[in-house]
Amino acid sequence: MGFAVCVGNASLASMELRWVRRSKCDDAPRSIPIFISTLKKDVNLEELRHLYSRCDHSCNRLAKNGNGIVDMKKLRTAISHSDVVVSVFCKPHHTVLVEDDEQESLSSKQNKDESSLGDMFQDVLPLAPSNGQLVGFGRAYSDYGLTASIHDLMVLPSLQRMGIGKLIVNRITRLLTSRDIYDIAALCFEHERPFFKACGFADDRMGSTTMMFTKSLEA
Amino acid sequence: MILIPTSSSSSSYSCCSLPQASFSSNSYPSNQSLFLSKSAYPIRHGSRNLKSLRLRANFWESIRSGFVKNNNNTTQLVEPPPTTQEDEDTEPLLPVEFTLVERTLQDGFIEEIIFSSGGEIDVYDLQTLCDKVGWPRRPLTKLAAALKNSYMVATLHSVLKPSSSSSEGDNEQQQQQQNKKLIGMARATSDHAFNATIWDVLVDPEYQGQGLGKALVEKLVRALLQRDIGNISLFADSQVVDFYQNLGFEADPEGIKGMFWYPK
Repeated sequence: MGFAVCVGNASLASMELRWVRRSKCDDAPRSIPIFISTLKKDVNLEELRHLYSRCDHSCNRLAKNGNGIVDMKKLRTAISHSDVVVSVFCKPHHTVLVEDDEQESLSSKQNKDESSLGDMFQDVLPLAPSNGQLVGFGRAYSDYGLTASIHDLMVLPSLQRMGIGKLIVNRITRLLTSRDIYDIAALCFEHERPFFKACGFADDRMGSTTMMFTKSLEA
Repeated sequence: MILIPTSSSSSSYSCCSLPQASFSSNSYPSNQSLFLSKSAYPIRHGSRNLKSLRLRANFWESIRSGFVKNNNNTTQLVEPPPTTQEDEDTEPLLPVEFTLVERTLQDGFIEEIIFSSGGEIDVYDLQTLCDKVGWPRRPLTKLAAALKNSYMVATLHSVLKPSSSSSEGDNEQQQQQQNKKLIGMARATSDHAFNATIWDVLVDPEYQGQGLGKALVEKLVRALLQRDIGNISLFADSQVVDFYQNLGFEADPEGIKGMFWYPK
């Protein structure tokens, strides 16, 4: 279920339904359907801001710049000027379902039976950005020629390690390479490096040093 | 890209001019002028000429005051509240140009180093400058597109003027056009709100060591900070790390490192 949108010469699906699953050794793998969209109009700013706080992610990279609530106006500007925006949605009840598997077996068996009918109904409903909950996001801005930068990559903590993040990164790089941009950079904290490494990123082969402006503007 | 005349009576050559089309490596439109002008590529968001006129004085003053290094730098950039509900409601970047340095040369000429931002750049000049500093060549069309779509592009030009002030106004202007040389450039890409990355900072080797590169980057950073863009990053070669450190940049702050995509 998806339709193709022509961007220049390449035809890429801008909305797609996919399945992701978490493979655990001792548990049956759970597959949940997710909806990937690369359209900016599918981005609900309120939901996005909520996702930022849920993922404990700040738009300001450096702690000294403040970790407060995301400024909505700036967020809107940032989204409108990001060349690539990828949002991942899933059905609301799935965000909770996959959360704590340990507790589920203990206490919620009864609850499961009672709500199973409701869940079945929810499962049958087709997933769309309108009835899905935003669980993953990533964006990139570029100069449409030589370089691009990936930012604000995040997935709801309860749904991590299911391949959603990798899906987002792959979608972003695919869109950028279809526009002939191959110099794609991503700023990442120490704990994010293994993830980006697994997505095909590596330290700069030319040996450049990443630097950020940290001087405060007093006098 | 091969141009084939159609067999119909109204033979028209179609030329691919979409900014997002992929260019093959041997199809530079060499017979087209790659001199960038505002109308060469369609701009994604509309240009707000009316607003820009009102803002011009404030913006120029704030840039100039930064350069003059006032102790009490209290000029503030006053932004009019956005009146439209459209997504693109940031005020456009205004062209800024002023003289950085003026000195008299031995042969009696006056050399002016002019800083300009938001102006036009000749891509061929830039290519020549990149060759001078020893950078690998990049496709001209991609370079042009990158310049067009960068959030800020700051350039340094050197203009030679004869010292004797002559009454032939037109002649002098002609001379100025011919003697204007691109000697430095820096550009930054951004999402216009939170993040910016500075790429391609270069100064002609003959003009290095005079603080010009420092001025370029300083102006760029100042302009970005005035727009409340907090995350300014760049990827520095090993020999210029100290240069940026002196400008207020820190290497790997809080463990942040940049990684690049290398497809297998």
